[in-house]
Amino acid sequence: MGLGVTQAAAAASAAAPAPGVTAKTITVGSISDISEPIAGLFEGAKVGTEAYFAYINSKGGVNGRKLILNGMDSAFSSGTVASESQSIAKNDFAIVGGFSLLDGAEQTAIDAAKLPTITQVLSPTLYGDPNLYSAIPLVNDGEISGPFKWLKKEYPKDVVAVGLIGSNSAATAITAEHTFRNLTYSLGYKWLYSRDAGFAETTFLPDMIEMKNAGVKMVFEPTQQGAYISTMAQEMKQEGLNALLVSGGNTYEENFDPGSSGDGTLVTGVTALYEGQDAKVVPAVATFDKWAKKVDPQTELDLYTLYGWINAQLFVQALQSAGANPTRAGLDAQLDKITSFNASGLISPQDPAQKIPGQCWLVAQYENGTWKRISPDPKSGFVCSPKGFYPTSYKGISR
Amino acid sequence: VNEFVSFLVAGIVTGSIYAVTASGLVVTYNATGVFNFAHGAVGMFLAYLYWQLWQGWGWNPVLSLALVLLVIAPAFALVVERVLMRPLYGSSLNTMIVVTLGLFLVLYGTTGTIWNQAITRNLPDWFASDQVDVLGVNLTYEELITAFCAVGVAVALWALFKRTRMGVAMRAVVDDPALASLTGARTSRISGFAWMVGFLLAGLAGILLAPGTGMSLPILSELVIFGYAAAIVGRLRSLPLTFLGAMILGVGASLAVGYVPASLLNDVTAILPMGLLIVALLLLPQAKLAVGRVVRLRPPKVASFTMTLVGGVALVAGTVLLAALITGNNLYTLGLALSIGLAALSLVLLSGYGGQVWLCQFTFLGLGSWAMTKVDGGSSALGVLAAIGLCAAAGGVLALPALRLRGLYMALATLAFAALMDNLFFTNPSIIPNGSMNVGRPDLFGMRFATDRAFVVLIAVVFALCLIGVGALRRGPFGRRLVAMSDSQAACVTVGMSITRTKLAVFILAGGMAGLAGALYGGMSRTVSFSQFAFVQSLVLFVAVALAGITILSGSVQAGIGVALLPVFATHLPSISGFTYILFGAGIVAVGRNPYGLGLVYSYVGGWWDARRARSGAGGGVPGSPPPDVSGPSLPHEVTSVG
Repeated sequence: MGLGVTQAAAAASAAAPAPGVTAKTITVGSISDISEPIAGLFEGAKVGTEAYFAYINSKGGVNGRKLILNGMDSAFSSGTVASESQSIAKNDFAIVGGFSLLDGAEQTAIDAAKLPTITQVLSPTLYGDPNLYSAIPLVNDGEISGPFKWLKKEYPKDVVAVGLIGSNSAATAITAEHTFRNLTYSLGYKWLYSRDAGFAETTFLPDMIEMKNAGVKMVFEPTQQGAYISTMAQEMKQEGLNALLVSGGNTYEENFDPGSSGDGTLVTGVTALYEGQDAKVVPAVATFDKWAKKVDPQTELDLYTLYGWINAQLFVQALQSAGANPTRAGLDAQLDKITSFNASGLISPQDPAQKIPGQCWLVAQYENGTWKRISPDPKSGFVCSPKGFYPTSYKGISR
Repeated sequence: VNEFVSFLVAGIVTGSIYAVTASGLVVTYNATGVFNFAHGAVGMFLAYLYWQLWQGWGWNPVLSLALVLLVIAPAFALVVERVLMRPLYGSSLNTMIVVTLGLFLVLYGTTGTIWNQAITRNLPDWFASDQVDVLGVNLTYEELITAFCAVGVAVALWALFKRTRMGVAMRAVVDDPALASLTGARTSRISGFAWMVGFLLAGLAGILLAPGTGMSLPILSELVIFGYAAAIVGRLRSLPLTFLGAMILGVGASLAVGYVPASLLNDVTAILPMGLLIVALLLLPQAKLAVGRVVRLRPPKVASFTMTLVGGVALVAGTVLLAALITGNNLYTLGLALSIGLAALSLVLLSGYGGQVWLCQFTFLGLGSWAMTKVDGGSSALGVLAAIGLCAAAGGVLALPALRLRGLYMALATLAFAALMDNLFFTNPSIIPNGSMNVGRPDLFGMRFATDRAFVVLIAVVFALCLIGVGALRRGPFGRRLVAMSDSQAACVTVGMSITRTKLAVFILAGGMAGLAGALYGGMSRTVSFSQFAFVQSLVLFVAVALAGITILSGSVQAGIGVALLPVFATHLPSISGFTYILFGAGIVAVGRNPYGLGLVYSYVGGWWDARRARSGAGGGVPGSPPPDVSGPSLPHEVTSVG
């Protein structure tokens, strides 16, 4: 009798749908910093995920089910994030998209519920979490090296006279800068100047004077926002510092507006020019732009909108293969098979399953108020570098 | 030499921005005695208005500038002066700080509500890429205009204060308003004029800054703290010294880039603004602060042992009941409210009773959380003791400048301490890797508090015990010494009371209590990101406690609930989040007239109830206590001088 009850319970349990799954819908959750610390900070991450779901739903959904996003706001509170992630673990199928400075607080709930989490994260403690799948995997103390090899090849005399203005506003930025420094050292770059600026600094004139005096020929700015980099570009030109300005992805934003002073600025990255410049050569760019604007006509396409979209696409790709009655374990099994993913050309090929970042990249240049690819040529796709990741010993994880 | 001159010129450009910002602060303070913590927020708000006219609606930039600076800023200043500031003249420092901090929050929230921050806005330069060579440094026209503005402001203000009747009258009013009135000075008109000049300078600074920073709410409104150092170098009185302070700051940062060794450069530039503020506070002779008269309503009565016991039991019982009914995020919010409330209780002790303004409570919460993670695996009672010990020690260290600094100077010192901790400690990856840490929960007396529900009840019990303890302290000799110290340090010394010992004791006690709150706050959150302890959070908490009643124990409970609920409103009811700032606005208007916040309201209600019971023959009131005054808040009952 007892055994019979146990077997019946087990059978019932096996037949029970996973949290968030009904006959007609699948609901997933996301957590983003939306209202705080700055209103609308990472709202794009939510918009991007909603946009991809709307796009897929317009085609009939996944295996007959519509996709619904339960997009939550962290209110910039770790406890809220922890609590919301517990709620998602209980009620929703997975975490998809979202972006929060406090995402480390999700980890307890994710690990306890073995909750599939398909998103970009900031907290290095989450990078190696077995339940995490990122469309663009991140590695602690690791960084793609291909673009810096390319810079060395193209500008051999400049990379031995490098200056950097970083940010002292967040520990993650300082840590990333440390990795960046080790990577460039390993390639033979020589640093002549570096300083971490505070978030409220309004001018970098002394830095420009010092770099000019030191003979700096290449200026890196990996972490600051577009408005600051605009100021830097203007002040470089103003002080006659004839150096190449190379920046991180933040520069590829609408608030980078340096006028003609910014001409020649380079951005290296693993994403297509998603704000529209690549729409003709990468059809997915046009689709992304169209659906993001459709979901939120006021939205500005930023990196976080793209993150939301590409991780939603990664989730959908796995879900489509997970069968008519998807389970979390089944979804994980399908995600474990995706060893090459490029979001239809929006990003360079990545290996989310083994958490191996892609080794392909592009370089874009700012000219006359817009961005253009300068590598690779022809103007589509990405350049791939063998052993293009630092440290080269990193081989990913086996799940 | 050429290189030195180049750095000097670059530094003067930066210093000019600080000078314009700081001069506005000093002008307002000089004429009204109010240190306007909302000065930066006013500049930010006016910069947004300028953006709206020029970029948003396409108006002529010069016309827009004139409209914002010469029409809107003065009109806005007059409204603020009439509604918010006029009731403040002659009131306590606490009240002035609360009202101006409240104005900061209102402007911050209102601007964020009107101009969606998800949309990028840039304020373009007036002159695209035009520049001139000045002693080997190429300066843009904007930078030249900034430098000329600083010089122009300096000359104009000097002329105003030295050469005009209005300026001389402004100085007279702040020295002695009553005497100035006797000589025919119209104090209200003079104060209004000072606020108009202050707002104009704030707007000018915001508009000069915005092209470089982008239209950023936090940067534009918080940047003013760099101006504090310059204003303190000028002892809040002297405009030439204020300009000197601004130049020391700007040129110092510039020369540091050129001459400080690379290994020290980041630390030096991070320390410089707040370091200068602290050094200036400690070393320069202090001017007599304008806060010399305290016009009071009779304070709320002191809670009896029975009242605090009943209150503590009710807090625990209410928590147990509520915790049984709610789950998830609501439970978390409850725990957060209680732990923030405990931090607020330390403010009641220190600021409410002791009169020591402390603007760094969240820094202590962060220190407590950090200490908790560092001891015995991060989840033991030893960690809690470490949190208490570290923060008590930090409180003791902060007490040292408090032995010399008073009033506003002490408030600014604690603010500088919080900002320094943000820059040097909480963002330092070698101290806090990746900016966040997991905080454990202690096992106590063989009991585990792993579930949120159990931990929330534990926090409530600890909070209740602290409430009862602080209530007992207030009723005892130490509490009377604190209140006496708050009223008049000079009088205390005269009767032989040791101010040093009393200050040291209350700082250590309050620090330890805030550390305990930090350990519990961290345990409730499980993971804390240290950006949560940014100094602005401390300002919000101070305002919340003051609104709820900084001299009453229940004020801490309500402040904790209020601060914990703010993000909940923002998250779940975004459409009314702007409304919460309007409530804040109403609250600070009320505090300007009633510095005891809701505490006085409760006192009146209690008094009315006691009187009603007495009339009906049921007795009432606390045995041995006089019946509270119920004659209404409009009549000042006592006037004391603490100058």
